[in-house]
Amino acid sequence: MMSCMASPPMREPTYYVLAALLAGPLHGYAIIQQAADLSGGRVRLATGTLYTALDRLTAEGLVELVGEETVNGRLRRSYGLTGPGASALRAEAQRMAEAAALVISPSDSPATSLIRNPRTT
Amino acid sequence: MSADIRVPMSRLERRARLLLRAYPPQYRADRGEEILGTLLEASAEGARRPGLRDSWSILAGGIRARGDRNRAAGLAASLRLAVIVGMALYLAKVAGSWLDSANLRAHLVIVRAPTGSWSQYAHGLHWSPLVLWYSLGAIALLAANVGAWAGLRFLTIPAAFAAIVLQAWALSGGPSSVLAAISSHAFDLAVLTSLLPVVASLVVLVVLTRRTGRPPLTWLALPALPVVLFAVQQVVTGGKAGFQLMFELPTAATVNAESLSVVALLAGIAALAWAITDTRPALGVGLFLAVTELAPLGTTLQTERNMRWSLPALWHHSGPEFGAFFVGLALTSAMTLLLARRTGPRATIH
Repeated sequence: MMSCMASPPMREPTYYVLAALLAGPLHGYAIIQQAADLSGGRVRLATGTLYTALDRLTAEGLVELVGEETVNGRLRRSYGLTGPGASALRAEAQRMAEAAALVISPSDSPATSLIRNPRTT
Repeated sequence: MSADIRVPMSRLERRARLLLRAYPPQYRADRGEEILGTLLEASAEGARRPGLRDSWSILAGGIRARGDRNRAAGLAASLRLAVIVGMALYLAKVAGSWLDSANLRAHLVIVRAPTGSWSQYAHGLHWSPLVLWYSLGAIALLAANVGAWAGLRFLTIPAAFAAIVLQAWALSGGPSSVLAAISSHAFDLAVLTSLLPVVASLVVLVVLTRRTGRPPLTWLALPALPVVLFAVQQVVTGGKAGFQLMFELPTAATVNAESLSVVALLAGIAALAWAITDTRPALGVGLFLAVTELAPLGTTLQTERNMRWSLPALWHHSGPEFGAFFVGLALTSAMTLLLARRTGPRATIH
């Protein structure tokens, strides 16, 4: 039904959840704040959306539960990036950088040089 | 979880806890406090209720968590659930048509039947045994599924069924007339043939969902369609048209037995919808509502062999509801297929 590549492109909220954890483990609200800061306010995760994403990323092995603590009588869990999670994040960043280079630095892009000098068979 | 100091619950927290009930009980026990803490931190200072975005995301997350849990239940359990929903709706429709046929002005309108055996639904003490048969069958299937549900919620389904059946039974003149009807009338094959498309659609639906694992929210579009179409119909006709498929609103605002029957039926359907924590049966609702328009159309096609096979002709013979449901079904199916192609299978989360 669908052609499978190694992994589908990462959605932006997912990317920023993983990016928020790059500097170290964070709890839920801190992830929301960090994602908003990193994206310049563009990615504003709703609470339910965050935990749906964390569930999925945990099941996929990209994120793991790191610790638990009780703060003001409430349970607070911290999540951190796993090795595969960091790799997936880097791979996605690389993919986006290559795509961006087509537009931002066309002279440096192999794809652009191909467009300018097409192979003829 | 521990709390060093007991702090009275704020209105915000009370409302947030109510929202969290969208999640399944086990999920709530595992993560409810954590999500609650984040929700409260994310809420604005002095807010008395969670924000709209947060509220919607919690509801959506809860439905998704329930869908994931139910997908993990297995194909057999899912099929049973889908059949139960189909039978529940069929039962509600039969009961409603019977109440209408008893000339009680129950404000329950049957599916139109141009010709054929479906017209017998309009007259018929002899249909009341079917109410009993289907309700017993549905309750038996429910009992078999007790393990899939927890808490008192599952009791609302047989209670709703029992309310509908007992009401129809009592109005029919009591058990003796029903027993007489049972002994003198056999099952009408038309009933089974009209039920088969429903069951087949639900089976196909469940199998497809198992294979692709689509996000559950997408499927909600289809059962929402009848509601949207009803609203559009009311707007277009200035509130004069009844909802031909299930029931119409009472024109008199008096509380009487007939209105109470509508309330009981609505409460039963609402209880059923709540107890159903998987969106596949919800899609079955939409398919059922669409398919029940096809059954009388099939009868029409049998009797009017010269009818041209075109959409306008189908529309003319079955009314705009059929066309609207068919178009809605086609559009939603296309949409879900496109989305599945884009997102791919999802991991199952327990």
